[in-house]
Amino acid sequence: MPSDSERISIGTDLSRRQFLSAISVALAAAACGRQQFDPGLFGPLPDLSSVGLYAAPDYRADFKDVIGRGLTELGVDVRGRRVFLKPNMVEYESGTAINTNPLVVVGAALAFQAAGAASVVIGEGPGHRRDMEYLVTGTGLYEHLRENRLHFIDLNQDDVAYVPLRSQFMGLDRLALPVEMLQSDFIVSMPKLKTHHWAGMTASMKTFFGTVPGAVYGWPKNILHTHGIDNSIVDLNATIRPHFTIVDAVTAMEGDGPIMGRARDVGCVAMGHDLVAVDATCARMIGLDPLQMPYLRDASLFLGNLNERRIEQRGEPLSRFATRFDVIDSMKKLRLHEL
Amino acid sequence: MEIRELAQQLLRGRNADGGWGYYQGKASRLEPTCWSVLALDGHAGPDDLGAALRTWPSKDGLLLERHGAEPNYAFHGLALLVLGACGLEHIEGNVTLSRALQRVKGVAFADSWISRQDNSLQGWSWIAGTFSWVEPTAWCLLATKKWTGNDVHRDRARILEAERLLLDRAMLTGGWNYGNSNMLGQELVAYVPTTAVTLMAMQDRRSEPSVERGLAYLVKHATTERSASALALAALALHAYDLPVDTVRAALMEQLPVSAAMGSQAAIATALFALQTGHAHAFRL
Repeated sequence: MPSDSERISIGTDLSRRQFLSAISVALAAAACGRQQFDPGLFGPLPDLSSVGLYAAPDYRADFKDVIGRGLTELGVDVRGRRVFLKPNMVEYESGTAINTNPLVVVGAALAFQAAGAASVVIGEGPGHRRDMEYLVTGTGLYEHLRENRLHFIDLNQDDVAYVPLRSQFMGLDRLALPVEMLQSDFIVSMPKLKTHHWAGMTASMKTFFGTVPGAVYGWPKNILHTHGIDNSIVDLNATIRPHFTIVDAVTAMEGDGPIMGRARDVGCVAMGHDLVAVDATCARMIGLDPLQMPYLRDASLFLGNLNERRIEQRGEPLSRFATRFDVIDSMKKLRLHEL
Repeated sequence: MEIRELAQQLLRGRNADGGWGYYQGKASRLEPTCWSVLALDGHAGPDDLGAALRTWPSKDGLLLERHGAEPNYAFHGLALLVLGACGLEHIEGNVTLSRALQRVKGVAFADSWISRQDNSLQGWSWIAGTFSWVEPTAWCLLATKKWTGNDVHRDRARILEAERLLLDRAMLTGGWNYGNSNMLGQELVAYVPTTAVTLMAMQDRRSEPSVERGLAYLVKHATTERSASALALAALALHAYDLPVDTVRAALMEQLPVSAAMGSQAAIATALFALQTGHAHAFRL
């Protein structure tokens, strides 16, 4: 760990060396006449970001209650607002931990309704499977949607609007995004916590790959890979500016995620307004160093807090859930050394 | 649920411009318009059923995914098949569309340690400037095989390379997914819809071991993926190989209320088409 004298105060936990490394790409881009982001568009980072960790030992928990408590404790006000929930449903195989559990998704929808939301819409656009009906029925989500009269939309097939990117890590000017999400007032990321064989970890921020429409860009969404997975994560989050996240870490995935890994019980639902702070906390929870993940490091420069001293823990203490996930060999460099 | 109800639902979802969106009330898109025209052809309905498809906007002979957008090669291939099956002629000329499709291909990459496959093979990508994947390659290959048979410009080398790509991407255990049979040393799983479309594209190569394994996979798994698209495409593929489809059609009938409630017009139209026999030749070589 760097000493205090090596740290530089930019609202992150970066050492001076790490900070210089992080901005080198931005400076190089600026030298080419392109800034990676305009700080004026994003404003200062909050002094303190609250991250709530709530216990849910298994999927028999009452998620409307668990998430409702989190919304109250974290000061979420959705009265009269159109809420959009973006779960992670990339693939379906029985008995695996690939997707956000439907009980968590529906629990969140009911909690937001109870909190006064004008409407709640659920949407996802998988990157491999393009058969949403199969995913929704296979995972069991369909029965919950029907029972609770909830609206679901396939983001791969929604109408689209081109949106200028608010940061420039991918080097693209704009992306097509689904209108249903863009027209909402309160966008909620609802990922499954998983290791990821390219990005290190997929949680609140990576899940927005599912908002890029396959009918426009194809399956898989090559454009996000060819312009860099980390770059795409940052640009999508800078552009969409999600308002909140609810991470399903009740049963997470370790090893060769996001699809071929093993289920791993953690018993936690993580929540917060600051997606960088929540993802950084999730990384620490599973024994990974958020500073070593390029997308979190870049995002911490302008999208949210990564520094533990700028993250206020609510609910249960992190130590209650802290563990060490198995990762593939190429991701062992991400491990926190102190564990 | 009656077939007639499905047809009525689709007819109600037709946009003022004559096309169909993926969902009722959404903008017209090429894929749902293709499936809807194919499914409703022969039903009592508007006289100009195929007008939107005949005049669908194009660029350099390639149909756009939607007005003002870029071409989508997979849906262009599907459109060619539908135009042919319904006896429609696009304003650009179907031959022009067919030749344009043969000119485009996915980009090649160097082989990579992450996956055991031949990245130099070029089939068709979804959109320009990207890699070749299974579904666009299968639709475009099927359309090319079906509608360039008598064309002196038929590019035999394109057909052979696309076939090699599909054989290269087959799962060891049979079938196809989106386009990687393995990743980081792990064998991936096949999907019913992509297996079905690929088998239709390879129906004239039935003796290939990968095709035989794919067909065996489909016969075994045809009803395991419960959705209108998966079941309908499975039925169409089995029909193309002259195999029984009654069980699959029964499962599809059972699935219809869910499909209708989910509301995807492309899925509903695919189901409606598969449950009819009028255009069974649409995807047969």
